[in-house]
This record gives sequence, structure tokens and C-alpha cells, in this order.
Amino acid sequence: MTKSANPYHGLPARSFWRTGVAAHKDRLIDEVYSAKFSISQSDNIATAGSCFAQHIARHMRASGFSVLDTEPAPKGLRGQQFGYNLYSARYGNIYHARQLRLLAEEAYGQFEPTGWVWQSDGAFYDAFRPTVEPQGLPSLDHIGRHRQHHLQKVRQLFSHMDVFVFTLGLTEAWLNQPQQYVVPTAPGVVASPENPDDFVFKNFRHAEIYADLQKFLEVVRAHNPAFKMILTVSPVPLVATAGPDHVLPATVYSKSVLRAAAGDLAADDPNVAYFPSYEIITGAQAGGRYFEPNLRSVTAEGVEHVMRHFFKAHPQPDAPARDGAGAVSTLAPDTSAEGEAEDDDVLCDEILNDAFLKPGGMRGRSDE
Amino acid sequence: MSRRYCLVGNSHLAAPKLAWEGVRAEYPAVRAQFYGATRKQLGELEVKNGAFGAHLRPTSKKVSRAVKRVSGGSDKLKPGSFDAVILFSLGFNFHQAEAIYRTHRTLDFNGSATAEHLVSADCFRAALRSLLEDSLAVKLVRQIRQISDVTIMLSLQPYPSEAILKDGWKGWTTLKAEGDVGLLQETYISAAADIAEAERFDVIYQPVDTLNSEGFTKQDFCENARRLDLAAGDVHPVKNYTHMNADYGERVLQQLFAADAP
Repeated sequence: MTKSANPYHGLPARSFWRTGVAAHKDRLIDEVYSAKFSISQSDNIATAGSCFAQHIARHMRASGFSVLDTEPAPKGLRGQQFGYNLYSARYGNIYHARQLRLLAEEAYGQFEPTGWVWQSDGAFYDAFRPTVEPQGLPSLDHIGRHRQHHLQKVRQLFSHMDVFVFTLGLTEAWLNQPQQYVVPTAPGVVASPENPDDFVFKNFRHAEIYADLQKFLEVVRAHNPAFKMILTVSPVPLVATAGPDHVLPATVYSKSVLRAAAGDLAADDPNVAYFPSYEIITGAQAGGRYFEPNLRSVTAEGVEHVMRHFFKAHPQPDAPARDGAGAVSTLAPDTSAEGEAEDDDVLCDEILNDAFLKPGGMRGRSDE
Repeated sequence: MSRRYCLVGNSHLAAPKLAWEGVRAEYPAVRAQFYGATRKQLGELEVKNGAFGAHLRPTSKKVSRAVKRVSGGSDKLKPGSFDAVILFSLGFNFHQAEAIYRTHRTLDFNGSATAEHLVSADCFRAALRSLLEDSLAVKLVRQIRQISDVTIMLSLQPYPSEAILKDGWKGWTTLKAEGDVGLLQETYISAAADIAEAERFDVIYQPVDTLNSEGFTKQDFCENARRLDLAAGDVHPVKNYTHMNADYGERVLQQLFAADAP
């Protein structure tokens, strides 16, 4: 009887924990990420996702990649006010795959939401990006026309991007039951819907997230067949859970589901890659040192460590296009130079839920 | 009762400086000290507390020389020696509003439909306010306020000459064609008033009789506008639409002295 060959025999160092991980505690982890496709200097990159994606966008700009911005800030506007200079369009944080999918469907006229105009103190808010106008807008007409303008810019973005970098953030969401769309903040946090009972808590499952991402690809590919997508999972834990579990297992569940969905899609689709920022920050080799004392925010060192891995696989173009601010291609007249992000702060709508933490450490529901 | 003024400015100081030479006899109680240089040079002043008392002074010999040419001797600005310090333009101007309007408009503008980017009124105001707050005028106000509670007035830079439309400068002809000059000027004036209140200075608006019905400066006031540093030259080029002449300067001084009359 012939003895079968040991399947682990001859595998590269990356395949073994001792040589692939434990030996790299303080260094780049060799081959933790290999580029599935290259990104050239001329490729138009678009970014979106949860707040961790803001770091990725900023570093790519600073490194000379051509990062699109179809909604650049007006001259003079500082930092990230009014939702500018965060992503490639002014959609704010997109935490959920469902949110991304329906944004694309709405932009291409395949979905028409209702009940998305929320109100607070007489002002009107776009529930899909409630923090981009901190004081809201003065009328229904204003909010409708601003949304149409935004969708036009999103359409322009999705139709012209070559590489889309999307960071998955959450599985827990506030779902509009009649139309099955999700919003980034719970009703009542920034503003309130006309029919609050339409919105319910929903914890998305793997299959749903996978299907939403697939549908997003299908919708955009109908207009931009060649674009590629790089998926990442945010290493930032939940600020709060609205589910029955403790926030720690709720976080691990959420990240695990997102990680699995992203991995499966990358395995199934030749034009989708997975970049392991989540593993680089949260893996045992990091020993938790890339988190701030709140054990939630990722340190600047951690972000840089992640980006070094990314840039090792996707070498940076030779020189930033503009005064260190990076290349910002707008598809439109360039007007964004004044408003570059000033610091490492990231803006997270989700953090608003922390305001509902009751004194004494009791968990507050984010819809209270 | 005599009044002592320090008139501070960049190239736009030329109009009142030239005018002053012609009208000083009409204002025997007024003492005017001019303090000027290019905007870049005036950005290099520093606050000092020394034997001379609290004052602003140049940080380089080059700027010192430039200021002395305009002031006729001193390179120090000691706010406490005056009844009022009057700033002229110094980057605080309507062009900042027009620059935003070129690319970003609110729904309140007639030209919103042709705007490349639509923004809220809050956002437009915030952007404009940032630009104006970053001007040298506001920087100097803050420097003066570190050492003095003297009255500070800011004479706003004149609106461009009406000739800018005839010569087809695109941004401005668009603004005019869309019928948005008035609303943009209102927005600008409102931002100026807000900043003035926050930074504790008074705004001196452009004399009404120097404006045409469309809100641009009458071309008569732009003809033969002189440079501040007379040693360097002469008149501004014909297609310089932003600098005004001594006639304009005289109107401004009249308005200024009237506004500050005890």
C-alpha cells in the first residue's frame, strides 16, 4: 500500500502559523495579501464604506493614486465639513452591503425609495446620509433636488471608476420594512421618519450580504463592465449592539459574517479581491497594539501598518500629484484642493449611538 | 477735535493715499498715517511688546523697506497711537464669493440649474466665511486685537469694474447672465457682517454712488488707477478691473470720515 504524500509538505512559509504569522509580530506579514489585479497610476479609484474606509481613501490620495471625487468641496471649506473629502462622492459612511446595493440601484433609476426624508426641528434630512447637512435642509423641495444631484454624481462615479475599494462595516442595521432599505443611523438619532414603525432592527446574514454585493456588481457592471472591486472589512468593533447579545460576541459575529461574505465573493468573482485589513489589525500577531485605549479606534500606526501591506502589493505611483495631497481626479473641474482632510480624524455616524449609553454602563437601545 | 487714523493696506491703499493728498486741506482736524506694502509682505508682520510699546513690525528688512516707502518713515504700526485703524481690502473681497459660485451654487441662485455642484446655503456660507477668515485683513485684525482695543474698520475691496463684463471674463459674465450678482453680494455682505461682529471690527461698505445699477464699480473710478508703490511705477494695466483711482479713494475717505465723526 502506497503511503500518500503529506499535503502540507512543501507548502510556503505563509501557510504555517509559526512562519507565516508568529515570526512577523513586529513586521510586515509576508504575502498576507497578494494583488489579484494591479492598480495603475491612471486607474480611477473610488472609495466607500464604513468609517475605516476614510483612512484608506486618505492614504491612497496621499500616495499619488488617482482617487476620484465627483463631489468636491467648495473652495475654502475646511476639513470634512458637510461630508466632503471623506469618500469619492458625498454619500457619507456606507456601513452595509444593502445600503451600497440600493445606492447603485437608485442612482441608475432601478429603485425609488419612499420615507427617506426625515425631520428634526423643522429641518429636513436625507436619511441615507443624515450627517452631511448638520442643520438639515429647509424644505422638501431642497432635499429632493439635493438627492437627485447627489445621485447624478454617484452615477458618474460608478460609471467611470476602474477600481472600487469598499470597506464593509456592519451587519446590524435599521431596515425600512416596506422597501427593505437600510439607513446608517437609527430613527431619532439625527432626525425622525414620518412613520417610525416602518423601521426595524435587522442583523444581516451571510447570504443576504453576499447577494447584496453580487447585485451591486451586476447593477454597476451593466454600465461599467470592466471595473474591479477590492473588499475590506473594518476592524473597528461595534460601538453598540441593538441585538440581544453582549457587544463582544455581537461584534465578532458581525465581523465574521462580513469577512466570510467578502472572502466568498472574492473567491467566486475574478474581478473582486479581498484585502485583509481586518486581520492585520485584529490578528493575534498584533497583540491589540493597533487599538487606542478605548479598544475600538484604530491608531494611526495601525492604519499605516495596514496601508504598508496594501502598497507593498500595489506599488505607489512615483509622486503625489499635488503638494502631498495626492491625486484627486474629479471628472469635473478641479476645485477640491482647499478642503483636504486636516488630520487623522474619521467621521462615524455610528458613534452617535454611543450617546445612548446610559450612566452606570447599562446598554441603551439606539432607537430610544 | 482731531482724529488720528492709521490707514493700512496693500495695493488697494493707493486710491485713498492719492486722494488724501488732494483733500487733506478739507480735513484740518484729521491726521492720517499710511502703512502699506504688498499683501505677502504685510503677512510677515509680527506683534511686539517693547520699549516702543505694543506694536506690529516687519520681520524682515525687505518688508521694512517696503513699508517705510509708503509710510514715509516708520515701519512700526502702533495701534494705541490712533483713534482708529482702517484696513483696506487685504484679501477680504467679493472675488472669494465669486470663486465659490463658479463651481458651487445653492438652489437660491438662478444659476443653480447650471451649477456643476449643488450645495446648501449653510455650506456655501461656511466656505465663504472660511475664505474670508483666512484673509490677511482678518489676520491683521487678530494681531491688533492682541495688543489693542482700538477701533478697527475694514474698507471692503471695491467690486470689480463694469468693464470686466465687456471684456468677457467668463466667471463674471456668467454671474451677470444668471442674474445672481445681487444675491451673491448679499451673501458676501452677510458673511462680512458676521465676521466683523465675531472679530470686533466695523465694515465700511463701498460708496453707493460708485456702483452701477448691476452692482459693479463704474468704470470711471477704475481709469488710471495707480499702483501703491509709486516708485515702482505708474498706472495699473487697462485690464486690471479691481484697483480704483483717486476719485474712488476720495469717495471712500469722505464716507469713512463721516462714519467715524465724533
